[in-house]
Amino acid sequence: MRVRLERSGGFANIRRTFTADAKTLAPVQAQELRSLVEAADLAHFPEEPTPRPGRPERFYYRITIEHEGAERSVTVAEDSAPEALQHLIDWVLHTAQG
Amino acid sequence: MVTEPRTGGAARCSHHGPHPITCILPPHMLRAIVERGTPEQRAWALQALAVSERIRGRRELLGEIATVTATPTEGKQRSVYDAKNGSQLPGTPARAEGARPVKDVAVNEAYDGSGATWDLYHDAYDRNSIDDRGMPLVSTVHYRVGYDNAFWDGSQMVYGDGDGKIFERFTKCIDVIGHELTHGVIQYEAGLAYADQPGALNESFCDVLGSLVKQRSLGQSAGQADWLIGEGLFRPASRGTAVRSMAAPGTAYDDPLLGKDPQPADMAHYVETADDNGGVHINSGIPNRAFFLAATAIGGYAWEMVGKVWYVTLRDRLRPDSDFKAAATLTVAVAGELFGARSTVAGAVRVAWKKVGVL
Repeated sequence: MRVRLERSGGFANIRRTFTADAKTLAPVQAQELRSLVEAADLAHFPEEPTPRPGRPERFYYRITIEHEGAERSVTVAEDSAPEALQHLIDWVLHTAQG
Repeated sequence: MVTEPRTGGAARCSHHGPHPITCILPPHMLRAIVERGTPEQRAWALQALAVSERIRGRRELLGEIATVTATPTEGKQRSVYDAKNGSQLPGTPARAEGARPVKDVAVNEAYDGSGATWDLYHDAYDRNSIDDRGMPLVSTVHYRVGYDNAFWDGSQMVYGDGDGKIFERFTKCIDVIGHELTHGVIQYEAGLAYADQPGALNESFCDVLGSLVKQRSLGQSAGQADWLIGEGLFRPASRGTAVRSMAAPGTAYDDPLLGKDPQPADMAHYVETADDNGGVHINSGIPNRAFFLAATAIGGYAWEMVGKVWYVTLRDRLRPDSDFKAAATLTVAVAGELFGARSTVAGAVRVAWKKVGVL
């Protein structure tokens, strides 16, 4: 399982990509990642376009889950991410940034 | 002085999130009803605000309603809070108005920067805080962990510490603070929609006023100013001097990790994109440069003349859907009203918009 997090927008509007790959993570972390992805339940998350107009300076996150050959992407504004998805975003940011 | 009627903040439904209640009636509009409505409307609006704020997980705005319903206050009312790396707003009180500096540099920067912004609006433009009714300036620092951003959330300013690798703390730059507070002013005045050209104007007016806060705090003339936005926000390892350049959009940074500054300097290079709410932080380079060209052509302190033209246009003339051409036409008109149609100021403003290809 691989999670790619693309962050755009914000005051600086600089696009950055963070990745967490279960293959290269320690077993404990890989398990954490799988649990967080499961809890975020992206399969049932609407892949709707971001509502506009937006709100000043907020980040947008595009989260792509690659798992067993399948891929699923959703895009959310940071202030509209459900709690479980926010946990996944925080975890990937923290893990990828060290 | 221009004696146009004030636009007020009532009839718009703009930049407030996907939630149906806040979308139909954004908090600032509800607050306007609380402020100006009949007793019946006020009671209804107060309840709607309480519900929408509860849904958003925030109860602090109710405290603010007390200040909205009260008579306008005089003088600065700043308070700085510490989120302690969490996401609850506003957080723990860290410094109140009149209190001595604390050990935490971010707290003091938020305090001083919001004070300098209040001063510019008050001393140069006779404006009583964000809402022109003495609204307290609330800031929260240390929002989340290593958060690479700062924003105005509709009722207060929020600052992250930066990741420490690419970004410094966002309170470090006084123009960033002036920029964020100006989003608040726009919310109460022109209400520029945060998408496409109105959104790029929204961003540009924030950069302009943010830069003027910095120039005034340093006592710089237009010729002395660096015209950079967020100078020093990047850590030294990054190949970038600032986040944006008003004098030379597109040249602020060029770094393997950050990419290259994507801002165009004129309409010939306008960027059509769905990203960034239609390029609001990208195409803002065009009106930013128009302001720079006008200010440097006129000389002296930029906030005194061309800054006043921009402020009065924002307060009295721009509408939620105004585009670049409207901003150009209206700033030329306001410059004529304030300084005379044949004045140096009006001429410089017209030439500046022509140079960037808007007129």
